[in-house]
Amino acid sequence: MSGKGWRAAADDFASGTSRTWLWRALAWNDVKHRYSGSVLGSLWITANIALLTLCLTLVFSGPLGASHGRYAPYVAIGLVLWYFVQSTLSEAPNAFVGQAETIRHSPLPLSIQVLRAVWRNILIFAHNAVVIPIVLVAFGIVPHPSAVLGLVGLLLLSVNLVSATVILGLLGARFRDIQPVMTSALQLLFFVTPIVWFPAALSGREGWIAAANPVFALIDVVRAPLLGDSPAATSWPMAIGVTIAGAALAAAGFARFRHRVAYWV
Amino acid sequence: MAHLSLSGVSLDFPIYHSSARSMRRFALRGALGGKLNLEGKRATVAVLRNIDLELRDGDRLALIGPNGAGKSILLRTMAGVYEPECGTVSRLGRLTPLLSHGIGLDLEATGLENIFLLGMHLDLQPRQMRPKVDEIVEWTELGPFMAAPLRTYSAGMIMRLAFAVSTCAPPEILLIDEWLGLVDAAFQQKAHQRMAAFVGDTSILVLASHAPDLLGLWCSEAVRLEGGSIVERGPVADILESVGAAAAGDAA
Repeated sequence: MSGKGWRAAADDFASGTSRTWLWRALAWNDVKHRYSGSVLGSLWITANIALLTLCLTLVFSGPLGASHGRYAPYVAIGLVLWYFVQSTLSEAPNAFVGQAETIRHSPLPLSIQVLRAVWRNILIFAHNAVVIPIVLVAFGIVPHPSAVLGLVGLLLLSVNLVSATVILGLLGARFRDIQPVMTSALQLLFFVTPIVWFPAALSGREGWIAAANPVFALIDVVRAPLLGDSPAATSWPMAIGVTIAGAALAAAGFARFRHRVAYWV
Repeated sequence: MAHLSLSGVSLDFPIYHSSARSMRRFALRGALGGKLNLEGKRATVAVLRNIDLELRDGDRLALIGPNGAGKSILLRTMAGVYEPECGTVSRLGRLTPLLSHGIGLDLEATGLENIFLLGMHLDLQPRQMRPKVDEIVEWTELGPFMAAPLRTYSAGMIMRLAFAVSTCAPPEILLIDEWLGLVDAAFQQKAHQRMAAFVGDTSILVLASHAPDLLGLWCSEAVRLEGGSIVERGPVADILESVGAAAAGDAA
Protein backbone atom coordinates (compact mmCIF):
# COMPACT_ATOMS: atom_id res chain seq x y z
CA MET A 1 0.00 0.00 0.00
CA SER A 2 1.33 3.39 -0.92
CA GLY A 3 2.10 6.10 1.57
CA LYS A 4 -0.11 8.37 -0.49
CA GLY A 5 -3.22 6.40 0.46
CA TRP A 6 -2.37 6.52 4.16
CA ARG A 7 -1.67 10.23 4.05
CA ALA A 8 -4.87 11.01 2.18
CA ALA A 9 -6.85 8.85 4.60
CA ALA A 10 -5.27 10.58 7.59
CA ASP A 11 -6.05 14.00 6.06
CA ASP A 12 -9.62 12.94 5.42
CA PHE A 13 -10.03 11.72 8.99
CA ALA A 14 -8.39 14.81 10.51
CA SER A 15 -10.39 17.30 8.47
CA GLY A 16 -13.58 15.28 8.98
CA THR A 17 -13.13 15.01 12.74
CA SER A 18 -12.33 18.71 13.09
CA ARG A 19 -15.62 19.65 11.42
CA THR A 20 -17.51 18.83 14.62
CA TRP A 21 -20.16 21.40 13.75
CA LEU A 22 -20.90 19.53 10.53
CA TRP A 23 -21.27 15.89 11.57
CA ARG A 24 -23.02 16.73 14.80
CA ALA A 25 -25.54 18.95 13.04
CA LEU A 26 -26.15 16.36 10.32
CA ALA A 27 -26.63 13.61 12.90
CA TRP A 28 -28.99 15.79 14.88
CA ASN A 29 -30.97 16.56 11.75
CA ASP A 30 -31.18 12.83 10.95
CA VAL A 31 -32.57 12.04 14.41
CA LYS A 32 -34.94 14.98 14.41
CA HIS A 33 -36.66 14.07 11.15
CA ARG A 34 -36.55 10.31 11.41
CA TYR A 35 -39.32 10.35 13.97
CA SER A 36 -41.34 13.26 12.70
CA GLY A 37 -44.93 12.20 12.23
CA SER A 38 -45.01 9.64 15.03
CA VAL A 39 -46.73 10.55 18.27
CA LEU A 40 -44.13 9.29 20.72
CA GLY A 41 -41.19 9.93 18.37
CA SER A 42 -37.99 8.33 19.53
CA LEU A 43 -39.70 7.53 22.85
CA TRP A 44 -41.01 4.47 21.04
CA ILE A 45 -37.63 2.82 21.26
CA THR A 46 -37.23 3.72 24.91
CA ALA A 47 -40.72 2.49 25.70
CA ASN A 48 -40.02 -0.69 23.79
CA ILE A 49 -36.89 -1.35 25.83
CA ALA A 50 -38.76 -0.70 29.08
CA LEU A 51 -41.57 -3.03 28.09
CA LEU A 52 -39.17 -5.73 26.92
CA THR A 53 -37.30 -5.48 30.23
CA LEU A 54 -40.54 -5.94 32.14
CA CYS A 55 -41.64 -8.98 30.12
CA LEU A 56 -38.24 -10.64 30.07
CA THR A 57 -37.93 -10.16 33.83
CA LEU A 58 -41.31 -11.78 34.47
CA VAL A 59 -40.58 -14.72 32.15
CA PHE A 60 -36.86 -15.42 32.50
CA SER A 61 -35.72 -14.41 35.96
CA GLY A 62 -37.29 -17.62 37.35
CA PRO A 63 -35.75 -20.10 34.87
CA LEU A 64 -32.39 -18.29 35.10
CA GLY A 65 -32.52 -18.50 38.89
CA ALA A 66 -32.09 -14.78 39.52
CA SER A 67 -34.22 -12.45 41.58
CA HIS A 68 -36.15 -9.69 39.80
CA GLY A 69 -33.85 -7.17 41.46
CA ARG A 70 -30.82 -8.90 39.97
CA TYR A 71 -32.20 -9.67 36.54
CA ALA A 72 -34.15 -6.50 35.63
CA PRO A 73 -31.24 -4.01 35.83
CA TYR A 74 -28.96 -6.53 34.10
CA VAL A 75 -31.30 -6.98 31.18
CA ALA A 76 -32.32 -3.30 30.96
CA ILE A 77 -28.72 -2.09 30.64
CA GLY A 78 -27.95 -4.99 28.31
CA LEU A 79 -30.82 -4.11 25.99
CA VAL A 80 -29.99 -0.40 25.92
CA LEU A 81 -26.40 -1.24 24.94
CA TRP A 82 -27.47 -3.91 22.49
CA TYR A 83 -29.85 -1.53 20.78
CA PHE A 84 -26.95 0.91 20.38
CA VAL A 85 -24.72 -1.79 18.84
CA GLN A 86 -27.45 -3.28 16.70
CA SER A 87 -28.76 -0.03 15.19
CA THR A 88 -25.26 1.29 14.49
CA LEU A 89 -24.12 -1.94 12.82
CA SER A 90 -27.28 -2.34 10.79
CA GLU A 91 -27.01 1.21 9.46
CA ALA A 92 -23.26 0.98 8.83
CA PRO A 93 -23.35 -0.63 5.35
CA ASN A 94 -25.43 2.34 4.27
CA ALA A 95 -23.04 4.97 5.70
CA PHE A 96 -21.57 5.88 2.28
CA VAL A 97 -24.22 4.51 -0.09
CA GLY A 98 -26.93 6.50 1.66
CA GLN A 99 -25.00 9.72 0.98
CA ALA A 100 -24.12 8.89 -2.62
CA GLU A 101 -25.37 12.20 -3.98
CA THR A 102 -23.15 14.19 -1.64
CA ILE A 103 -20.12 11.95 -2.10
CA ARG A 104 -20.31 12.10 -5.90
CA HIS A 105 -20.63 15.86 -6.08
CA SER A 106 -18.72 17.33 -3.20
CA PRO A 107 -15.20 17.00 -1.84
CA LEU A 108 -16.28 16.91 1.81
CA PRO A 109 -14.25 14.32 3.75
CA LEU A 110 -15.78 10.85 3.79
CA SER A 111 -15.11 10.49 7.50
CA ILE A 112 -17.93 13.01 8.01
CA GLN A 113 -20.42 10.32 6.97
CA VAL A 114 -18.96 7.80 9.43
CA LEU A 115 -18.94 10.21 12.36
CA ARG A 116 -22.44 11.38 11.49
CA ALA A 117 -23.78 7.82 11.46
CA VAL A 118 -22.17 6.93 14.80
CA TRP A 119 -23.09 10.23 16.46
CA ARG A 120 -26.70 9.80 15.36
CA ASN A 121 -26.75 6.48 17.19
CA ILE A 122 -25.01 7.96 20.22
CA LEU A 123 -27.79 10.56 20.43
CA ILE A 124 -30.44 7.84 20.32
CA PHE A 125 -28.45 5.82 22.86
CA ALA A 126 -28.31 8.81 25.20
CA HIS A 127 -32.05 9.03 24.90
CA ASN A 128 -32.60 5.35 25.67
CA ALA A 129 -30.10 5.49 28.52
CA VAL A 130 -32.69 7.21 30.72
CA VAL A 131 -33.92 3.67 31.38
CA ILE A 132 -30.66 2.92 33.22
CA PRO A 133 -30.93 5.33 36.20
CA ILE A 134 -34.64 4.56 36.48
CA VAL A 135 -34.06 0.85 36.82
CA LEU A 136 -31.07 1.34 39.15
CA VAL A 137 -33.13 3.55 41.46
CA ALA A 138 -36.15 1.24 41.27
CA PHE A 139 -34.11 -1.71 42.50
CA GLY A 140 -32.08 0.29 44.99
CA ILE A 141 -28.71 -0.21 43.30
CA VAL A 142 -26.28 2.47 44.45
CA PRO A 143 -23.53 2.88 41.84
CA HIS A 144 -20.12 1.97 43.17
CA PRO A 145 -17.25 4.42 42.44
CA SER A 146 -15.99 1.82 39.97
CA ALA A 147 -19.02 2.64 37.82
CA VAL A 148 -16.89 5.30 36.15
CA LEU A 149 -15.07 2.38 34.52
CA GLY A 150 -18.33 1.82 32.69
CA LEU A 151 -17.78 5.17 30.98
CA VAL A 152 -14.35 4.02 29.83
CA GLY A 153 -16.04 0.91 28.52
CA LEU A 154 -18.61 3.05 26.71
CA LEU A 155 -15.81 5.01 25.07
CA LEU A 156 -14.19 1.76 23.88
CA LEU A 157 -17.55 0.58 22.55
CA SER A 158 -18.04 3.84 20.63
CA VAL A 159 -14.55 3.69 19.13
CA ASN A 160 -15.28 0.16 17.96
CA LEU A 161 -18.51 1.28 16.36
CA VAL A 162 -16.61 3.96 14.42
CA SER A 163 -14.15 1.32 13.16
CA ALA A 164 -16.99 -1.05 12.31
CA THR A 165 -18.87 1.67 10.43
CA VAL A 166 -15.78 2.42 8.33
CA ILE A 167 -15.29 -1.27 7.46
CA LEU A 168 -18.97 -2.08 6.88
CA GLY A 169 -19.50 1.23 5.07
CA LEU A 170 -16.72 0.38 2.59
CA LEU A 171 -18.02 -3.17 2.16
CA GLY A 172 -21.58 -1.94 1.77
CA ALA A 173 -20.51 0.50 -0.94
CA ARG A 174 -18.68 -2.19 -2.89
CA PHE A 175 -21.08 -5.09 -2.32
CA ARG A 176 -24.75 -4.32 -2.25
CA ASP A 177 -25.70 -7.58 -0.51
CA ILE A 178 -24.01 -6.66 2.78
CA GLN A 179 -27.18 -5.06 4.12
CA PRO A 180 -29.36 -8.21 4.14
CA VAL A 181 -26.41 -10.25 5.46
CA MET A 182 -26.12 -7.83 8.39
CA THR A 183 -29.77 -8.22 9.33
CA SER A 184 -29.46 -11.96 9.81
CA ALA A 185 -25.97 -11.75 11.33
CA LEU A 186 -27.22 -9.33 13.97
CA GLN A 187 -30.12 -11.56 14.89
CA LEU A 188 -27.74 -14.47 15.35
CA LEU A 189 -25.40 -12.26 17.37
CA PHE A 190 -28.21 -11.29 19.72
CA PHE A 191 -28.89 -14.90 20.62
CA VAL A 192 -25.29 -16.00 21.14
CA THR A 193 -24.33 -12.94 23.19
CA PRO A 194 -25.12 -12.88 26.91
CA ILE A 195 -27.47 -9.92 26.85
CA VAL A 196 -30.70 -11.32 28.26
CA TRP A 197 -28.98 -14.37 29.77
CA PHE A 198 -26.04 -14.68 32.15
CA PRO A 199 -22.67 -15.91 30.90
CA ALA A 200 -22.66 -18.14 34.02
CA ALA A 201 -25.38 -20.17 32.29
CA LEU A 202 -22.66 -21.56 30.03
CA SER A 203 -21.01 -24.71 31.32
CA GLY A 204 -17.21 -24.78 31.53
CA ARG A 205 -16.72 -26.25 28.10
CA GLU A 206 -19.04 -23.71 26.48
CA GLY A 207 -17.37 -20.76 28.18
CA TRP A 208 -15.61 -19.75 24.99
CA ILE A 209 -18.96 -18.70 23.49
CA ALA A 210 -18.92 -15.60 25.70
CA ALA A 211 -15.14 -15.28 26.05
CA ALA A 212 -14.52 -15.18 22.30
CA ASN A 213 -17.32 -12.72 21.59
CA PRO A 214 -16.03 -9.14 21.33
CA VAL A 215 -19.55 -7.72 21.48
CA PHE A 216 -20.08 -9.44 24.83
CA ALA A 217 -16.75 -8.06 26.09
CA LEU A 218 -17.70 -4.52 25.08
CA ILE A 219 -21.15 -4.78 26.67
CA ASP A 220 -19.74 -6.44 29.79
CA VAL A 221 -17.18 -3.69 30.46
CA VAL A 222 -19.97 -1.10 30.47
CA ARG A 223 -22.68 -3.08 32.22
CA ALA A 224 -20.82 -4.86 35.00
CA PRO A 225 -19.28 -1.70 36.55
CA LEU A 226 -22.68 0.04 36.50
CA LEU A 227 -24.20 -2.87 38.40
CA GLY A 228 -21.32 -2.90 40.87
CA ASP A 229 -20.06 -6.26 39.53
CA SER A 230 -16.71 -7.03 38.03
CA PRO A 231 -16.64 -7.94 34.36
CA ALA A 232 -15.58 -11.42 33.27
CA ALA A 233 -11.81 -11.88 33.47
CA THR A 234 -11.57 -12.02 29.69
CA SER A 235 -13.67 -8.90 29.03
CA TRP A 236 -11.20 -6.03 29.49
CA PRO A 237 -8.35 -7.69 27.56
CA MET A 238 -10.77 -8.64 24.79
CA ALA A 239 -12.35 -5.16 24.69
CA ILE A 240 -8.98 -3.41 24.50
CA GLY A 241 -7.60 -5.93 22.00
CA VAL A 242 -10.56 -5.68 19.64
CA THR A 243 -10.43 -1.87 19.83
CA ILE A 244 -6.82 -1.86 18.67
CA ALA A 245 -7.31 -4.55 16.02
CA GLY A 246 -10.53 -2.96 14.75
CA ALA A 247 -9.00 0.49 14.50
CA ALA A 248 -6.00 -0.93 12.63
CA LEU A 249 -8.20 -2.80 10.20
CA ALA A 250 -10.45 0.23 9.66
CA ALA A 251 -7.42 2.49 9.07
CA ALA A 252 -5.92 0.05 6.56
CA GLY A 253 -9.23 -0.37 4.73
CA PHE A 254 -9.83 3.37 4.66
CA ALA A 255 -6.33 4.07 3.35
CA ARG A 256 -6.66 1.37 0.70
CA PHE A 257 -10.21 1.98 -0.56
CA ARG A 258 -11.22 5.52 0.43
CA HIS A 259 -10.56 6.99 -3.02
CA ARG A 260 -12.68 4.28 -4.67
CA VAL A 261 -15.82 5.08 -2.68
CA ALA A 262 -16.80 7.93 -5.04
CA TYR A 263 -16.87 5.36 -7.89
CA TRP A 264 -18.70 2.72 -5.90
CA VAL A 265 -21.63 4.65 -4.48
CA MET B 1 -4.23 34.39 -5.10
CA ALA B 2 -6.39 31.53 -6.27
CA HIS B 3 -4.92 28.85 -8.41
CA LEU B 4 -6.11 25.61 -9.98
CA SER B 5 -3.88 23.38 -12.00
CA LEU B 6 -4.10 19.94 -13.55
CA SER B 7 -1.11 18.31 -15.10
CA GLY B 8 -1.15 15.06 -17.03
CA VAL B 9 -4.44 14.02 -15.43
CA SER B 10 -5.92 10.76 -16.68
CA LEU B 11 -8.83 8.99 -15.08
CA ASP B 12 -10.27 5.55 -15.64
CA PHE B 13 -13.75 4.92 -14.41
CA PRO B 14 -14.42 1.42 -13.10
CA ILE B 15 -17.59 -0.19 -14.38
CA TYR B 16 -19.52 -2.33 -11.94
CA HIS B 17 -22.28 -4.37 -13.44
CA SER B 18 -24.71 -6.01 -11.09
CA SER B 19 -22.92 -9.36 -10.71
CA ALA B 20 -19.68 -7.64 -9.71
CA ARG B 21 -21.58 -6.05 -6.86
CA SER B 22 -22.62 -9.36 -5.41
CA MET B 23 -20.57 -10.77 -2.60
CA ARG B 24 -21.68 -14.30 -3.45
CA ARG B 25 -20.21 -14.08 -6.92
CA PHE B 26 -17.10 -12.55 -5.52
CA ALA B 27 -16.66 -15.37 -2.99
CA LEU B 28 -17.47 -18.08 -5.55
CA ARG B 29 -14.86 -16.72 -7.90
CA GLY B 30 -12.29 -17.48 -5.21
CA ALA B 31 -13.81 -20.78 -4.08
CA LEU B 32 -14.09 -22.19 -7.58
CA GLY B 33 -10.39 -21.75 -8.22
CA GLY B 34 -10.79 -18.62 -10.27
CA LYS B 35 -8.16 -16.03 -9.64
CA LEU B 36 -9.34 -13.87 -6.78
CA ASN B 37 -8.49 -10.48 -8.13
CA LEU B 38 -9.46 -7.41 -6.20
CA GLU B 39 -8.26 -4.77 -8.60
CA GLY B 40 -6.58 -6.27 -11.63
CA LYS B 41 -9.42 -7.40 -13.84
CA ARG B 42 -11.73 -4.49 -13.30
CA ALA B 43 -13.46 -3.26 -16.43
CA THR B 44 -12.76 0.42 -16.84
CA VAL B 45 -13.68 3.21 -19.19
CA ALA B 46 -11.18 5.92 -19.94
CA VAL B 47 -12.95 9.16 -19.12
CA LEU B 48 -10.12 11.68 -18.98
CA ARG B 49 -6.95 11.55 -21.03
CA ASN B 50 -3.88 13.58 -20.24
CA ILE B 51 -5.52 16.83 -19.22
CA ASP B 52 -3.28 19.85 -18.68
CA LEU B 53 -4.87 23.05 -17.43
CA GLU B 54 -3.54 26.02 -15.55
CA LEU B 55 -6.03 28.53 -14.15
CA ARG B 56 -5.21 31.75 -12.34
CA ASP B 57 -7.03 34.75 -10.90
CA GLY B 58 -9.53 36.18 -13.36
CA ASP B 59 -9.74 33.08 -15.54
CA ARG B 60 -13.22 32.22 -16.80
CA LEU B 61 -13.14 28.86 -18.50
CA ALA B 62 -15.95 27.23 -20.45
CA LEU B 63 -16.04 23.46 -20.92
CA ILE B 64 -17.63 22.59 -24.23
CA GLY B 65 -18.30 19.16 -25.64
CA PRO B 66 -21.00 16.62 -26.42
CA ASN B 67 -22.62 14.45 -23.75
CA GLY B 68 -20.12 11.95 -22.41
CA ALA B 69 -17.11 14.05 -23.42
CA GLY B 70 -16.01 14.15 -19.77
CA LYS B 71 -17.12 17.65 -18.75
CA SER B 72 -18.78 16.61 -15.50
CA ILE B 73 -16.03 14.15 -14.63
CA LEU B 74 -13.43 16.84 -15.24
CA LEU B 75 -15.28 19.24 -12.94
CA ARG B 76 -15.52 16.58 -10.22
CA THR B 77 -11.86 15.80 -10.60
CA MET B 78 -11.08 19.52 -10.24
CA ALA B 79 -13.23 19.55 -7.10
CA GLY B 80 -11.42 16.56 -5.60
CA VAL B 81 -14.28 14.07 -5.72
CA TYR B 82 -12.22 11.73 -7.88
CA GLU B 83 -8.54 11.35 -7.25
CA PRO B 84 -6.75 10.60 -10.52
CA GLU B 85 -4.39 7.65 -10.50
CA CYS B 86 -2.24 9.45 -13.01
CA GLY B 87 -1.27 13.11 -12.92
CA THR B 88 -1.77 15.76 -10.26
CA VAL B 89 -4.44 18.30 -9.36
CA SER B 90 -3.58 21.22 -7.13
CA ARG B 91 -5.88 23.87 -5.81
CA LEU B 92 -5.28 27.02 -3.84
CA GLY B 93 -8.23 28.98 -2.48
CA ARG B 94 -11.68 28.17 -1.17
CA LEU B 95 -13.45 26.04 -3.74
CA THR B 96 -17.20 25.71 -4.19
CA PRO B 97 -18.46 22.98 -6.47
CA LEU B 98 -21.99 23.56 -7.75
CA LEU B 99 -22.19 20.26 -9.55
CA SER B 100 -25.62 19.07 -8.57
CA HIS B 101 -28.54 21.11 -7.37
CA GLY B 102 -29.15 21.00 -3.69
CA ILE B 103 -26.54 18.74 -2.11
CA GLY B 104 -27.71 18.24 1.45
CA LEU B 105 -31.38 19.04 0.97
CA ASP B 106 -33.66 17.21 3.38
CA LEU B 107 -37.30 17.02 2.33
CA GLU B 108 -38.46 16.48 5.91
CA ALA B 109 -36.64 19.55 7.22
CA THR B 110 -38.11 23.05 7.05
CA GLY B 111 -37.05 25.66 4.52
CA LEU B 112 -35.06 27.47 7.17
CA GLU B 113 -33.31 24.30 8.32
CA ASN B 114 -32.49 23.53 4.71
CA ILE B 115 -30.77 26.88 4.30
CA PHE B 116 -28.35 25.78 7.02
CA LEU B 117 -28.07 22.21 5.69
CA LEU B 118 -27.22 23.43 2.19
CA GLY B 119 -24.77 25.91 3.63
CA MET B 120 -23.07 23.20 5.69
CA HIS B 121 -22.60 21.07 2.59
CA LEU B 122 -20.84 24.05 1.02
CA ASP B 123 -18.62 24.03 4.09
CA LEU B 124 -20.23 27.14 5.57
CA GLN B 125 -20.68 26.90 9.32
CA PRO B 126 -24.05 27.82 10.86
CA ARG B 127 -22.49 30.91 12.41
CA GLN B 128 -21.32 32.00 8.94
CA MET B 129 -24.78 31.35 7.51
CA ARG B 130 -26.79 33.20 10.15
CA PRO B 131 -26.04 36.72 8.86
CA LYS B 132 -27.01 35.65 5.34
CA VAL B 133 -30.37 34.08 6.13
CA ASP B 134 -32.48 37.24 5.86
CA GLU B 135 -31.06 38.13 2.48
CA ILE B 136 -31.63 34.58 1.18
CA VAL B 137 -35.22 34.44 2.41
CA GLU B 138 -35.96 37.83 0.92
CA TRP B 139 -34.44 36.96 -2.43
CA THR B 140 -36.33 33.68 -2.73
CA GLU B 141 -39.65 35.38 -1.81
CA LEU B 142 -40.42 32.23 0.17
CA GLY B 143 -40.78 33.95 3.56
CA PRO B 144 -44.18 32.47 4.46
CA PHE B 145 -42.94 28.93 3.67
CA MET B 146 -39.78 28.98 5.75
CA ALA B 147 -41.33 27.04 8.63
CA ALA B 148 -42.89 24.41 6.35
CA PRO B 149 -41.13 21.16 5.47
CA LEU B 150 -39.44 21.13 2.09
CA ARG B 151 -41.63 18.30 0.81
CA THR B 152 -44.52 20.76 0.64
CA TYR B 153 -42.56 22.97 -1.80
CA SER B 154 -42.90 22.85 -5.56
CA ALA B 155 -39.83 21.84 -7.57
CA GLY B 156 -39.39 25.46 -8.65
CA MET B 157 -39.47 26.68 -5.05
CA ILE B 158 -36.85 24.13 -4.02
CA MET B 159 -34.62 25.23 -6.89
CA ARG B 160 -34.97 28.86 -5.88
CA LEU B 161 -33.92 28.06 -2.34
CA ALA B 162 -31.00 25.88 -3.44
CA PHE B 163 -29.87 28.50 -5.91
CA ALA B 164 -30.04 31.35 -3.41
CA VAL B 165 -28.00 29.45 -0.82
CA SER B 166 -25.47 28.20 -3.37
CA THR B 167 -24.82 31.75 -4.50
CA CYS B 168 -24.68 33.41 -1.09
CA ALA B 169 -20.94 33.26 -0.48
CA PRO B 170 -18.60 33.77 -3.44
CA PRO B 171 -15.66 31.36 -3.25
CA GLU B 172 -12.29 31.86 -4.86
CA ILE B 173 -12.70 28.91 -7.21
CA LEU B 174 -16.16 28.23 -8.57
CA LEU B 175 -17.04 25.09 -10.51
CA ILE B 176 -20.47 24.92 -12.09
CA ASP B 177 -22.08 22.03 -13.92
CA GLU B 178 -25.05 23.51 -15.66
CA TRP B 179 -28.12 23.46 -13.47
CA LEU B 180 -29.26 27.04 -13.68
CA GLY B 181 -31.84 26.28 -16.36
CA LEU B 182 -33.99 24.64 -13.72
CA VAL B 183 -34.97 27.89 -12.01
CA ASP B 184 -38.50 28.74 -13.14
CA ALA B 185 -38.98 31.25 -15.94
CA ALA B 186 -40.30 34.04 -13.75
CA PHE B 187 -37.09 33.85 -11.76
CA GLN B 188 -34.65 33.53 -14.66
CA GLN B 189 -34.02 37.27 -14.89
CA LYS B 190 -33.54 37.63 -11.16
CA ALA B 191 -31.33 34.56 -11.08
CA HIS B 192 -29.10 35.92 -13.84
CA GLN B 193 -28.57 39.14 -11.94
CA ARG B 194 -27.67 37.27 -8.78
CA MET B 195 -25.40 34.98 -10.75
CA ALA B 196 -23.61 37.93 -12.33
CA ALA B 197 -22.78 39.41 -8.95
CA PHE B 198 -21.75 36.02 -7.59
CA VAL B 199 -19.50 35.11 -10.50
CA GLY B 200 -18.05 38.62 -10.54
CA ASP B 201 -16.77 38.11 -7.01
CA THR B 202 -14.99 34.82 -7.66
CA SER B 203 -11.43 34.60 -8.89
CA ILE B 204 -11.67 31.51 -11.05
CA LEU B 205 -14.73 30.15 -12.81
CA VAL B 206 -15.08 26.86 -14.65
CA LEU B 207 -18.47 26.36 -16.26
CA ALA B 208 -19.82 23.40 -18.19
CA SER B 209 -22.91 24.10 -20.21
CA HIS B 210 -24.68 23.35 -23.45
CA ALA B 211 -26.09 26.86 -23.69
CA PRO B 212 -23.85 28.97 -25.98
CA ASP B 213 -25.27 32.29 -24.81
CA LEU B 214 -24.59 31.40 -21.16
CA LEU B 215 -21.01 30.40 -21.97
CA GLY B 216 -20.49 33.52 -24.02
CA LEU B 217 -21.83 35.63 -21.18
CA TRP B 218 -19.75 34.26 -18.30
CA CYS B 219 -16.61 32.91 -19.90
CA SER B 220 -13.70 34.35 -21.80
CA GLU B 221 -11.81 31.22 -22.66
CA ALA B 222 -12.97 27.74 -23.62
CA VAL B 223 -11.70 24.22 -24.03
CA ARG B 224 -13.43 21.68 -26.22
CA LEU B 225 -13.48 18.16 -24.83
CA GLU B 226 -13.97 15.04 -26.85
CA GLY B 227 -13.59 11.51 -25.55
CA GLY B 228 -11.95 12.79 -22.40
CA SER B 229 -9.24 14.80 -24.12
CA ILE B 230 -8.86 18.50 -24.75
CA VAL B 231 -9.04 18.84 -28.53
CA GLU B 232 -9.21 22.60 -28.85
CA ARG B 233 -8.55 25.59 -26.71
CA GLY B 234 -9.03 29.30 -27.30
CA PRO B 235 -11.30 32.32 -26.85
CA VAL B 236 -14.85 31.21 -26.11
CA ALA B 237 -16.29 32.86 -29.25
CA ASP B 238 -13.85 31.01 -31.54
CA ILE B 239 -14.50 27.63 -29.96
CA LEU B 240 -18.25 28.11 -30.06
CA GLU B 241 -17.92 29.08 -33.70
CA SER B 242 -15.89 25.99 -34.60
CA VAL B 243 -18.35 23.76 -32.70
CA GLY B 244 -21.21 25.45 -34.54
CA ALA B 245 -19.43 25.01 -37.88
CA ALA B 246 -18.82 21.32 -37.15
CA ALA B 247 -22.49 20.84 -36.23
CA ALA B 248 -23.54 22.63 -39.42
CA GLY B 249 -21.14 20.46 -41.39
CA ASP B 250 -22.66 17.32 -39.89
CA ALA B 251 -26.13 18.55 -40.71
CA ALA B 252 -25.18 19.30 -44.33
